Amino acid sequence: MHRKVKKGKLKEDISPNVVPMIDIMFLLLLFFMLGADMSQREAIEIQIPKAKAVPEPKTIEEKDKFTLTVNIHHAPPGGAPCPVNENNGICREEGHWQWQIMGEDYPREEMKKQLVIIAQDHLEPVEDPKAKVKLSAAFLLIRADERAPYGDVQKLTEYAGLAKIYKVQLAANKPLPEK
Amino acid sequence: MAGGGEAEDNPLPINVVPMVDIIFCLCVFFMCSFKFRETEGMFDSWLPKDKGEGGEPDPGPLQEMRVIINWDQTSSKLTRQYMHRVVKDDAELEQCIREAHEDFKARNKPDIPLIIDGSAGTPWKEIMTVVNIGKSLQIKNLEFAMGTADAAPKK
Repeated sequence: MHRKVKKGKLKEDISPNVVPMIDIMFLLLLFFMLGADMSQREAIEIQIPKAKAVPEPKTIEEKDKFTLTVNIHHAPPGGAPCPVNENNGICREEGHWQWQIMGEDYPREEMKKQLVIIAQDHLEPVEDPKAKVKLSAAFLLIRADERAPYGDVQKLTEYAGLAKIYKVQLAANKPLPEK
Repeated sequence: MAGGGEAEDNPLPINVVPMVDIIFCLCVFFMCSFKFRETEGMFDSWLPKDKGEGGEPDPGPLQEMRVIINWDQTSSKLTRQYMHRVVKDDAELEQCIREAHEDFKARNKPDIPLIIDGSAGTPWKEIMTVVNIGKSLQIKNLEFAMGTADAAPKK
């Protein structure tokens, strides 16, 4: 038997189905968008010291907790170059280490005043029996560069004490696990 | 998810190519700007509540674990001492502190403080190394020595 084959146009659709690719790309896009940090950060990009024993940050912050973050970073006045720092040395030049809150550098005396203002805005409701005054409920987070002089941290802590801020926290990076 | 189905079913075919292009560009942008950060934590360091400006220097406990860190700017040299003993590395320092802490614990004095006494020029990293050792040995009482010579006027 002969089958009669109809002569016609055999149209083969070879266009690829891009739908799964779009799905995957959307997922990738979502991942990177959510992972990207677009917020204005209090914590600037500095090399803070590493410490294995540092506790993990709490995922749920206390509701009424106010934390003032002070960054101690190397920034010579006028953006002048500092060869010591650029060559990973320890710079101890006068005025090269700045104290910064929310992206703004404050001179030492101005920072002292700022701490007093912030402390007064966040006083504890009751007088402390030991200090016999109302202390500040604000937290002070010190984020100092690993090469920053200890004297600066001491001075800042001293100013915090004078402003009645006693809850001081020291930032450190938890090192990534070794492979 | 984007739905399947035959192309012939759709009366209004949409050209997705420009959208794919844009998503590609966005993906590349976010991939390039993405950065894995190390977890940043913080050590709590409560200041004494009843001491402020001009406070009398603490006579200090008779027993202590004191780490003295000195930074010499001219030679860029760091020296570390545990009490009177010069220590060479972190391991030796940790060993000294561990032994002393164990000894104090055995004598029922676990609250003897670890005092960090650093010079003003000491890099902050070195201070945090000692803090890290103290915390990893679960020493509860960690103290920072502060200069008193010019800070506290005599009454």
